[in-house]
Amino acid sequence: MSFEEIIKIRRVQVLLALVALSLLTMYAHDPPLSLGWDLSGGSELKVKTEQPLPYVTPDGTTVTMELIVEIMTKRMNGLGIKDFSISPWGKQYLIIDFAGTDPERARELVERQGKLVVKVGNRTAFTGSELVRIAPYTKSLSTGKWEVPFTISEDAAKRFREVALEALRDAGIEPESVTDFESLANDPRVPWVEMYLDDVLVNSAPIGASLWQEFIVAGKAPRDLVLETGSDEEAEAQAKSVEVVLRSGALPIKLEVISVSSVPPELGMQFAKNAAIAGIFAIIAVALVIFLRYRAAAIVLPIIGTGVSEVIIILGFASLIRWDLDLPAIAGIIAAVGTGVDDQIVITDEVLLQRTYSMRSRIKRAFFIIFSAWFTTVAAMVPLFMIGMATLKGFALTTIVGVTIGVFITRPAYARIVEHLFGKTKKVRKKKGKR
Amino acid sequence: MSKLDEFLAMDIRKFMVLPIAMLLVGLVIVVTGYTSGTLPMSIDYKGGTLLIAPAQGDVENIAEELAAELGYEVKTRVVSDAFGNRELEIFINHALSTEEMKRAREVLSRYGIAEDSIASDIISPSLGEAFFRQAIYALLFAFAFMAVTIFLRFRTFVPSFAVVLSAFSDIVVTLATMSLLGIELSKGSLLALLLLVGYSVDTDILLTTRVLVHREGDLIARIKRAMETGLTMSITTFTAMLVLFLVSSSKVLDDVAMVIMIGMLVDMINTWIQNVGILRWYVERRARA
Repeated sequence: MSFEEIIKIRRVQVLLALVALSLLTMYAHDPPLSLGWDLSGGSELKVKTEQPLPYVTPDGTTVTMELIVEIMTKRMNGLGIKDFSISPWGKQYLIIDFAGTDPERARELVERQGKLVVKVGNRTAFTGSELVRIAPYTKSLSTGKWEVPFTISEDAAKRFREVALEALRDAGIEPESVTDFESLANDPRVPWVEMYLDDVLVNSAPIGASLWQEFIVAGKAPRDLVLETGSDEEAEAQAKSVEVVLRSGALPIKLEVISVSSVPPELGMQFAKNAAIAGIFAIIAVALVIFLRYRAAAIVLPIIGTGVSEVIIILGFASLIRWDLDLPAIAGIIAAVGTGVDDQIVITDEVLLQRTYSMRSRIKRAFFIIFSAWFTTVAAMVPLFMIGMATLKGFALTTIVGVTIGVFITRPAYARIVEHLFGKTKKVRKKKGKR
Repeated sequence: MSKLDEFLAMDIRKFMVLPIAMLLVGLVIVVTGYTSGTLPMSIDYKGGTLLIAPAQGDVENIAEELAAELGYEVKTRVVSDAFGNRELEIFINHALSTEEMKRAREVLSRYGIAEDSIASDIISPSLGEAFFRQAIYALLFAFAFMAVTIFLRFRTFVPSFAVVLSAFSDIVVTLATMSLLGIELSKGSLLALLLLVGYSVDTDILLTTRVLVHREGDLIARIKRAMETGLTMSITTFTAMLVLFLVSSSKVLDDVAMVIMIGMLVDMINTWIQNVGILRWYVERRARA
């Protein structure tokens, strides 16, 4: 049995192709693997909402998990924070991970209020704290357009009117001379209302004809305002975004930071490095145990080779879907590879020890055991997804992906190698088990 | 005759006392520990603060000084990995506020521990409780799903029951052993217990399949072959975990490794004495009938 012959086995070619693909995937990505905050250094905050969500506030706003996540995301983006992830857990918790952010800063980011400023032509009309009420975005029954109704304080309303009129004058239009309000609303010279979140422009909209009319003709400063975006799908998304921006000043529900975890980058790197070294040593130790049992390099090499391939393919997959590898995920990989080695031992023993049967049936018998083990592992891991805390999810995912790749790709390849190694020679080896 | 043959030639049923006693004692330890709240729990599940910092020089008085500064109970422990890195783990029985955390950092800085080299984990008791409840659910569901799969796969009551019993006993006895050795129930050890559900049934599935599904040779020979394969599986897993334990410096991975090592040892008894005993009884009774 030569190396060339093994390479010619189709199952082995599939395996090698996947290993190559995984390496390429990792090579193409920079960094090759995205590490979780506990390995790359960073912080994780767990936050509890005052009420289980969804919750309807006294003023009629429905607060959902999605809304909170969106507001927080917008806020972080506004602050220029890039490497973070927010995941809801259950009805009352949020888990927020920051890469490369120290815990005090992370806590400050979550607890602070966003600074919302609404301007017209460089003049401040009102700020987030002057928003009295924000209604959820809806489709207006009368106009058929998407809109966000909101209410501002009396002072803010007056200021808004003054600022709007001044902006009009700045643009060279005398408010008193205006007669056609429709064309005023569409006049490109007229400045738009601009919303700034933490000094970053996030949204803008023109002042509508009816509001101009109220401002100029009636001389009124209405407190109840409506921001219209249009009637198409894009307008709906925009209305949603406007609602989030308006709300980002103050969250519609109180959040309490109930857990702060952090790992400095140096320590995280040390964890990652040690885990990798542990992996290499573990492979050597396992190889040694297998050699002591079978006394044949022809068995040790394929077992270790397929085991290593499995790790590479799992990592390639993680790289492909940009899965954050954290410590629990590494535990999952260890689990998958451990199961893989166990399964290969089963295949080897079925092939070596059950010589009265045909090779096909020996392999089939091995796979009966392997599939049973696979079913139970997947069955045990699936509920972890439903329960869904981040720690358990990462672990469950890598375990499921790992054992599944194992059962369908690496184990069959190994089986074919063993089949080739021991199937064709009629020479009966020394019986095992006599010591 | 090899040791294995001698062992198998004996009437294994009388050894059944060992796993049964183990399970009963384990149950008593776990149940009383759970109800009295004395099961060792990490801050992951009871709330509190864990600080990890590089340990340089003399760190003996840190616990005392922190306790005096903060007014909470403080315990410290130094762990080292295979490369001589030493880390100081500080356990504080209270979830520190931002302000208290600052004071703690100040104390540590007096021992030459830089502020940005400290890893921290602060968990409020209410969150710890929620995590613990979740951990219990995770374990129960994983176990239940596994059990259903086993029954669907083998479709005969006694052998399926034996597999599930063995897995159950593995978890209970491992939990009890952890409690006796003072190993805390933590994020890491929970992962390990979940893995144990999987590893534990692997050897039982192997045994049951070799004995009941693929029948050739006499019963003892089938058990013996299953045992050779199964023990190799357990020993490789044990070895890999031993290496992980020695090399890794992360608490999560250390916990995983330690608990799986205990679990593997427990599983050897449960699979190769208890489950073998039950299967022998089942097969012999069926042969008579």
